[in-house]
Amino acid sequence: MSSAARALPMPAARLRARWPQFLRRAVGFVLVVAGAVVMLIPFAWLVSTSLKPDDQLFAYPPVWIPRYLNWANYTGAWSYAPFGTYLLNTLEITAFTLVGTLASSSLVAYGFARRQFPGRDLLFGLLLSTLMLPAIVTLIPLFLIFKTLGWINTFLPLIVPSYFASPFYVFLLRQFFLSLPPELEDAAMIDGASTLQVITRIVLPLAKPALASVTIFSVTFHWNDFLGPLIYLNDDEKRTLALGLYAFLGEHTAQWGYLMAGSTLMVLPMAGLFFVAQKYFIQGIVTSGFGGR
Amino acid sequence: MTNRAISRRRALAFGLAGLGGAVLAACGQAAAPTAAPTAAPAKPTEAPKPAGAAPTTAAAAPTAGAGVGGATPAAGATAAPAKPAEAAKPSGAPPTPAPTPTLPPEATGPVGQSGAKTTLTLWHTLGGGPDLKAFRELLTKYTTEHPDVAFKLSFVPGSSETGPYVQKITAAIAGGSPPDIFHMNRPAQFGAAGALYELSDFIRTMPQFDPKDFFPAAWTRNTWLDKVYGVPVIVDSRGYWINKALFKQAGLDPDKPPATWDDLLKVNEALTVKEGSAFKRVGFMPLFGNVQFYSYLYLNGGELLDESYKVQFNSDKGVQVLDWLIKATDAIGGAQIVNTFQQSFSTGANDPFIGGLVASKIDGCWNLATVAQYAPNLEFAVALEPIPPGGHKATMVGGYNWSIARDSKQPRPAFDFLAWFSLPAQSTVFAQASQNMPARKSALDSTYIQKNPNIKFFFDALSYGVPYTTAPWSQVMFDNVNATATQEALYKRKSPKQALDDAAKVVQAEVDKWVKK
Repeated sequence: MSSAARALPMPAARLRARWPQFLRRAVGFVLVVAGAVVMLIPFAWLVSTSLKPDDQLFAYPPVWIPRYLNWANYTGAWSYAPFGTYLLNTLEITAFTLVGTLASSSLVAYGFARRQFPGRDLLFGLLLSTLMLPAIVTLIPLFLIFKTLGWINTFLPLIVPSYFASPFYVFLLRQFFLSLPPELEDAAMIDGASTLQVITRIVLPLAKPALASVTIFSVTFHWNDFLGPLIYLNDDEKRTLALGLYAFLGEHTAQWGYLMAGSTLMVLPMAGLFFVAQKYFIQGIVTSGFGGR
Repeated sequence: MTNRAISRRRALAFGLAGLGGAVLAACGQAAAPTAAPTAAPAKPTEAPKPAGAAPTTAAAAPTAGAGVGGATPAAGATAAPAKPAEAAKPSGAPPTPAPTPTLPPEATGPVGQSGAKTTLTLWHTLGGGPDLKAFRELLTKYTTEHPDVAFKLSFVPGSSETGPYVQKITAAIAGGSPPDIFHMNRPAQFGAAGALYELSDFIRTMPQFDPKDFFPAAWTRNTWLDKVYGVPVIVDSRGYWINKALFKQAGLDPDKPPATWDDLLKVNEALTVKEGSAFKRVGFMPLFGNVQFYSYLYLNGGELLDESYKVQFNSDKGVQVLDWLIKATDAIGGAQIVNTFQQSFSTGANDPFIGGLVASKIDGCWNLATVAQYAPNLEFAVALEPIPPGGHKATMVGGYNWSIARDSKQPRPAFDFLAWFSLPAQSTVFAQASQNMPARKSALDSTYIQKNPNIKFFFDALSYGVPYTTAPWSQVMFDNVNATATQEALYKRKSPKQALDDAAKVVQAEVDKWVKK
């Protein structure tokens, strides 16, 4: 940059002051770029592999740029299994769970953030402690419950629980609600607003960043969820994308080219979501880490 | 204020609509016919499409290879409409069609037909490859011959050894809603746990089903203390794979493969090339491929357990194996370097043998399919696994078995099908699709075995094969011996004897738990 050239005629003191700053930035920049490259290599490999012809998949040293772009992997992958159906199933589950999560978790979170009632903190602690339970521990009890309800092989076990709030989102939203000035809500109350109105007209609009974070977390989780659909869904036509990808990895055979193409397609919407909403991703992490006053 | 009224209503409607929608959506999935309007269009729009617009599927298929493309969507869409069409056309001509030609093709569909039709639910792990296609064709053959039977297939993803499949099957069994027939990699373990239907009575009443026709290595994987919990369908064996071109390049004769463990060390001397601590090429890595301490123990004439269920792998034979593994690993740089190198290939999507980075390995027969697909021009050979002085030829045998759930409502028809499926006429076709081996000795005469020398090699290997045990302690033994003890010795944290003795204690305790019962 020109700063080096301009630095020459400067007095020595100013030169010393400017260089460290410039260097700091440069070093930081280099580090960040290096980190980004490391993070992107697997994705680049995924995309590159998804476009390789079969005979280049195992080439050594690895080939990064395929001999030709083998788009047949994409068309082949798409027709290998009914991915249109899988996509619709996944969208359906993701959409309904999102609605449920936002509606229920924000209500519960508001209760924990603002309502005074005996045993509130104990209850909240209890709620948080459920986060420590590994999913595998509750797998069979849950399965038995849903079986008794006759919900096996339907989307219900995947959707309905999100209408009863999830601890992580409740925690995240509660922390955010606590950071809002209660005076706003008091003012609305004085103007005659009901609690529900305070929530829908004052709190939730102010909590958009937190709600966006919840949206992102919920969507990515359900989009990628594997265990739930695996356990509760039996019919082939009810499978989700995450399950569907496994069609490429059979007991005895593996279609690597198709698998990479399918994986790329499945990652794309999430990558897009991240680019559109990365601000909230980061905000969400900050909120969950340092919320409260 | 009007605002207020609307907002309350809106908030309520928001929640209710969500809830109601969710319930509707899920019900729509459960019982499509009635609740279809809002959420279920997923299925209805999907299903009719191929029926009306066959050309689109046809247009999409050729790229993938018509066979594969056509086989998989059968799950929901393509195959069902396609087959009735087939059945309708030749209805005048077919040789001896089943009485109701429309029924058999619906092998996969939910069969709600009235009459005395038996619907067997079946969970498999075949993905969507050529083996699934072969499997479906065989099912159709069976339902054509037995019009009173239909199948409801479900693919359960993941390796059968661990992970998703085991989670799913465990939940289903514990929840009391298992399928009738399912793929079972550990019949003895699940049988001992009471999850599987015991087949001895069926076998006694079916004289044409002769357990002696199965290779013992395949059959014993399905038994537990004289009880039978599964039917082997296809099995796999291992061998020593050589990249012929690399051998020639290094001045070795690929037609005279190394026959002893010492020869393997010479292969490494001739072929391993390093750059710093990184390999440019490796001659032979003793634990790369599908090979563990077990394999070398049997090659060395040892055994894991004796007749009285006493642990034997910590004998002199076992110590010799670890001594040799250490020697062979140290010769190419030691455990740290070798493991780091091996881990960089942990995914099968990057096979270094195919890539020419590893010149030889001990691996399974199914690699024939991988090579055929991804490296059809690879010059390779398969040979006996090298044998140390005082040892004898051996190879580890795994396999693919079907079991019947203890809670199955129709175990007899399920077994009838399995018995039929295990016959060479069927199992050979199925094995061929994935380049594995049929489990029956009588399959020897099939053209699949006779025509291809490599297949013949792996089939013959079954006669001296040693089964991977499926006993209830199999996982504990595998982890403690092949992973913990072996690595501790390779990293020299313990002496070979010490590592094996420690593992023996753990394994013996686990074995005693089950044998005393």
